[in-house]
Amino acid sequence: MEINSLKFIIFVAVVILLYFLTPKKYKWGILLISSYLFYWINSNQLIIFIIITTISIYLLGLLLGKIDKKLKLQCENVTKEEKKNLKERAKTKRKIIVFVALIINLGILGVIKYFNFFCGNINILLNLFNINIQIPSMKFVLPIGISYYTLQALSYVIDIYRQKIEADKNIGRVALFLVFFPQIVEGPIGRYKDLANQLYNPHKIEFNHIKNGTLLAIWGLFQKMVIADRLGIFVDAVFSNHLQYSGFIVVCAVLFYTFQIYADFAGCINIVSGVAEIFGISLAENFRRPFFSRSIQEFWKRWNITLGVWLKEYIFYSVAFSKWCLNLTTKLNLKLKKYKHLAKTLSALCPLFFVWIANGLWHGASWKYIFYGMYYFIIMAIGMMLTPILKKLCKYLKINVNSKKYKIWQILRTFFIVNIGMLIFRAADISSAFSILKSMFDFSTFGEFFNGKIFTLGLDVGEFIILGISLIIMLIVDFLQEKNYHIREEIEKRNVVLRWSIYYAGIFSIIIFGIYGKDYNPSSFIYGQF
Amino acid sequence: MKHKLLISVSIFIIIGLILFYILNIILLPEWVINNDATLSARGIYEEEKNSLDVVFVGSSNIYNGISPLEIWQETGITSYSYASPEQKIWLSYYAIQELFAYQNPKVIMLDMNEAFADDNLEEDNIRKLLDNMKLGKAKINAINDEFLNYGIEDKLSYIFPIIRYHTRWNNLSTKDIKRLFYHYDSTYKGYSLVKGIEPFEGNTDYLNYTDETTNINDIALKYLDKIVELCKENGTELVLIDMPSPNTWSYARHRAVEEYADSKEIKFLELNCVDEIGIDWNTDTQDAGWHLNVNGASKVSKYVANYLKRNFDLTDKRENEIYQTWNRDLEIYLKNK
Amino acid sequence: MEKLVEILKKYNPDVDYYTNEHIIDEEALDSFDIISLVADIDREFDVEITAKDIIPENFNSAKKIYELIERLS
Repeated sequence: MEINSLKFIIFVAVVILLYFLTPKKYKWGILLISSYLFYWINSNQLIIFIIITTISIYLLGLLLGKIDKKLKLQCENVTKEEKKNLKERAKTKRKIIVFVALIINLGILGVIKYFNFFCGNINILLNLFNINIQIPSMKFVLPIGISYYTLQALSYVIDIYRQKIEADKNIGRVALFLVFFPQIVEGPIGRYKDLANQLYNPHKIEFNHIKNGTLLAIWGLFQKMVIADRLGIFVDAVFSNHLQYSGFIVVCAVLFYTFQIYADFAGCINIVSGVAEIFGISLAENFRRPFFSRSIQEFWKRWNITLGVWLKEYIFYSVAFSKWCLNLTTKLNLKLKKYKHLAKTLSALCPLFFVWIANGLWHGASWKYIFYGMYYFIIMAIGMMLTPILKKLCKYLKINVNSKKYKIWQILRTFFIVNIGMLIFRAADISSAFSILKSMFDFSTFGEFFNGKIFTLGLDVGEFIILGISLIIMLIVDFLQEKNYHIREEIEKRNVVLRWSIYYAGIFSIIIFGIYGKDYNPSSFIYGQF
Repeated sequence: MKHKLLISVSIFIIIGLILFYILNIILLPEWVINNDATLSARGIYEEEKNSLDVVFVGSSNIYNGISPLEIWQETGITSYSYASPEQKIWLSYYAIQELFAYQNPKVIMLDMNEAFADDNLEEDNIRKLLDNMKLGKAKINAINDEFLNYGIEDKLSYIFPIIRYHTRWNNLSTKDIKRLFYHYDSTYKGYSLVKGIEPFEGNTDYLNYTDETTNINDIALKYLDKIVELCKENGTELVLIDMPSPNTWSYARHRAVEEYADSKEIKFLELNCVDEIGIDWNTDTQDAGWHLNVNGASKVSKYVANYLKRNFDLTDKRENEIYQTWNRDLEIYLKNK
Repeated sequence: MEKLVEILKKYNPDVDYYTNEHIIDEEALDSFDIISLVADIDREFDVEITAKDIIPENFNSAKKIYELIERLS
């Protein structure tokens, strides 16, 4: 059931109705049942995997809690020596439990998602050594949301391990945390602390929530159906035939893809966040006008925010504060006492490397995605190492780093780097990515801007006009939000004619200009394939 | 407070629905509505309720071949050509269902030319009838027919055509806005007046006896049975006909229809190779035998008129006050003929 | 406590660690600084700061950091 389909709208409407008609005590049950129903409709028997994950983290979480309680009891009236021993033993037990949780859940994810990639590489090696065995590839269908809920599940267990939250005795709450249907398709990746109570506590019907949630969802639908899918027509036409195109058209395709994936992903997040808001639940922010970022570091704090937070909390910190990494840090600090910045950078690069391998692989099981992760890793590493040099350079050239001009330069520079990253992401594989990159520099074709060739790739003049207008609208909305303008509140303040005109314009522009129906081919959400 | 909210939400929804309705109409494509052919499907609603005694149902052969005003002129019988391009028998079933919601004809004449074609579900032919059909029981039954196997989005696109045609925003013109105020004229009672001539140059003696047999298409058969039932229930006499069609008709087909008609005890009026009609394939066809022009249609209509007069007890309404508009329409027709 | 401030000054000398209570919020120290800082603290004070301790509440002021160190020793 696609999120931008009539079926989904009907589904949500029914769930909303049931939710508000159900007595307070059982409201969360409606969310749970409907979420499982949604899951079943989308993935059928594969629902077994999320159930295994739920049961595993529920039981292991409780186990962790038990060990802590036991430890507390045992630590009363014992010597300091014994206390230390007991603590050590408990620590080991807890580590084992977390390890088990990782094995089960990453194991499931690993096999389903990465088996073929892994075996494909082994096959290549076998071939290299002239061994005639080949591991056959298997047909795996990904259960919906597995990349998202697995991360949520692990964060639950690790947070209990780190004693940031307590294990939940109610398996229904844990289940709902994983399967809640608005977030299961493309996230955002929630933290138990933020989400569990919101999901569980009953919410009254509040007209404002319904209205604001619906408006947000409509905006998301607009982004997805009017902007993203329209861009997709052009992008697909060029990328599927990229050897035929060069220069201007390829540059357009890459640029359009960057906008497409933003409108698609952010649009979807807005739709589901809007739906959640109707229930009175607020999901974590996942996008904060990423193209206004002035550095790649900032970009990844504004794009797919919840993934970045997850990677920081559970990979970056886990690696950075592990014994071996801290030792490395200390050694570097000692050896490079004079080059403090270099030492700091190198010690950060160690956990950062793992973050980017994880980020890349999370997006897909292929070398292309690993390359994608490494692209950003290297860019960040270079950026970090060059920071003091750039600072000195700017001082020497008397460039004011706080001026508007410089900030714009930074935004454009970052945007360019991001576009190349998106090129890698979209290309079929690493070699296509390079060939497309090369073809972008065919300057002879820049006259094509005027000869109308650009209108032959699925979008005619009329479509381009709609595209242009809708992109400008999105730019204005993002720009206003960047300036802390709360759009829905501001619309509220205006008179009825303006307000309703905006609402009608939103709804009807989706119905009229949306890319759906027999004259177009539908395109599934890009980030839903993970 | 709550009341105010309820009222404003209701008004918002109502205005929204009105806008939606208007947009639905504006975005309909030209060919669905202003096509001569589809005027036949639209014009039926302009007729007075229960004023038609005979209705002709079928494909383009009907709306190009039967001119009800000729029949009116001959006999004062009120009739109508209710047809759409390449209308297959299953679609005719629903057309007749819709017909019975507005009219109570004593006779229905069903063209059998399409009963032998394979029942491909070409969307534009289906839409040429259904997009012109008002939303009622027949339309809903049609899109729900298991034979079509439509998903929910397809079904909704028949109730709200905007779902299918919204991409027309790229080709709008003032004609589309005018359509909101358009009045569908059924002056010729569903007949599409064409004067052009393109002679048919093949064998004009195509209905000779042969041993060949052919079968009515399976699906057509299923819906024919339903049509027979439906007409019986409604007290309407069903007569099978086949319009002169030298390119497609044959004795085999004639025999198949005759057998079916006999088995159901209904009349079958053969119109192919009937000397009395006097078709001249050099002057009476607009496109080399596929469709008749106004010359051919007049001849056929006169013949059918006399058949109706002889075989059915239908009133001559020419002196009837209520039907004077028919006389006016006849004048216009004769002027333009 | 003075030792702690001495260490902190190495990373960002412009901060008044005795009064500033928003070190993390203001990004006076970024997450990369924190890594080296933790390595230094672990060494100097013989404690073991782990990932679970890395929350803004523990690092937003020198006083809070010192409380963390005391808790762990």
